[in-house]
Amino acid sequence: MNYTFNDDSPIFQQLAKALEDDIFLCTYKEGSAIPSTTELSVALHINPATVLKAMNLLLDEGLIEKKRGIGMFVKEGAVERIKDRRKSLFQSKFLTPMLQEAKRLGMDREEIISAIMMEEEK
Amino acid sequence: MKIECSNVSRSFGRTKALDGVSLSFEKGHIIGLLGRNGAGKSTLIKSIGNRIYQDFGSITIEGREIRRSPEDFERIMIVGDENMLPSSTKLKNVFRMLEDSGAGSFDKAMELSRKFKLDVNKKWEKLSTGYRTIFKDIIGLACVREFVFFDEPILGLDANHRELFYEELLSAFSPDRCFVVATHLIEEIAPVIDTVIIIDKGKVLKAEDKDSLLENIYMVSGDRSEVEEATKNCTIISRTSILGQEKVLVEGEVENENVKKERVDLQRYFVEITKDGE
Repeated sequence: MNYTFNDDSPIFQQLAKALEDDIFLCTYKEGSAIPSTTELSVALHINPATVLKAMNLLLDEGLIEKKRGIGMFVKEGAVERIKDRRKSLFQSKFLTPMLQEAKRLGMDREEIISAIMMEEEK
Repeated sequence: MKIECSNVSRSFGRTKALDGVSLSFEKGHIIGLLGRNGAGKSTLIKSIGNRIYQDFGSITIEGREIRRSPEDFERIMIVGDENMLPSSTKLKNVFRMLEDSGAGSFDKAMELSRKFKLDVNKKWEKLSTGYRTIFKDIIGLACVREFVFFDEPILGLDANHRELFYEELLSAFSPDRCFVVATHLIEEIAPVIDTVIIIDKGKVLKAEDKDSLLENIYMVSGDRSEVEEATKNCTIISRTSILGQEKVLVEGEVENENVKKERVDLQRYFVEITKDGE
């Protein structure tokens, strides 16, 4: 695990995103434990309260669950849940900025579609 | 459980080193005490450590004046003041004194010395600047007291030793302790702390949760009139003009698509609010 952080958003949000990526890519599998707050704090040199905030975001999103006395576990169905959410963001996150740029460049629909097809064939 | 300073002032000659400082240091937090050189950080720490008497105000722990209750003073460790260290004793014997006084663990200090590659058979007076800092850091990290104040713990440390310090600090931390790190090197310490205290010219400018401090702070740049329009409902923290572009640091809501709006990190914010000449 090697997370790097920037200044674009608070660290707890970036950490939550990084953990979400790890769950999505099955680094932490459904039903298995994720590192404890203390382990993450010491390993990443981040304040434990910040780690806890990230954990709470993942709890709120239903991606992890707390098992009393043992720790945090990846919930069953977490990967599917992440996939659904990311699909719903696909338009605003990727398509909108792409079409904006294409418009600035004066590209018409056919040019855009052929660019997509070329990318696919790569 | 907290240490509370209320209206603490201290002058040296005509200089007000501390000017009506009211603050609290609560358990369960790692606090960054940030200020420029001469801002009053060390004076504040020494006042809490009972080594300098404040002229006015009170410093209490659970409501009791620290200087009147020596048993409470045993709950606080101040690392940084070099005059307190025996200069011609072998370092490992200083660690034994730490253990014998009940303030810390000899074994932990020795373990940390191995990690930092500190020669414990040396004496304090023979140490280089960097290793003097490391030695003091080890005292702080090996101590078991509830409140630990580190005064400039990363001064003169190389990158590997700084990383090691952050790691050991976080692993020694627990919810029933409070660590305070006084420094003017902010960039690296920012992720480690949860609470920020900024002092400047002896006064407290900010004392709050790190994330909420920066939540509504933005650097807004662009054409002058657009920037003015976008920031009309904000508090202006600082303003600069570079190559015909207006750059303002503001607190509040910014709504205008024709300006660039960026979040700032703690270091940038600190530099802007402690700038000279305002």
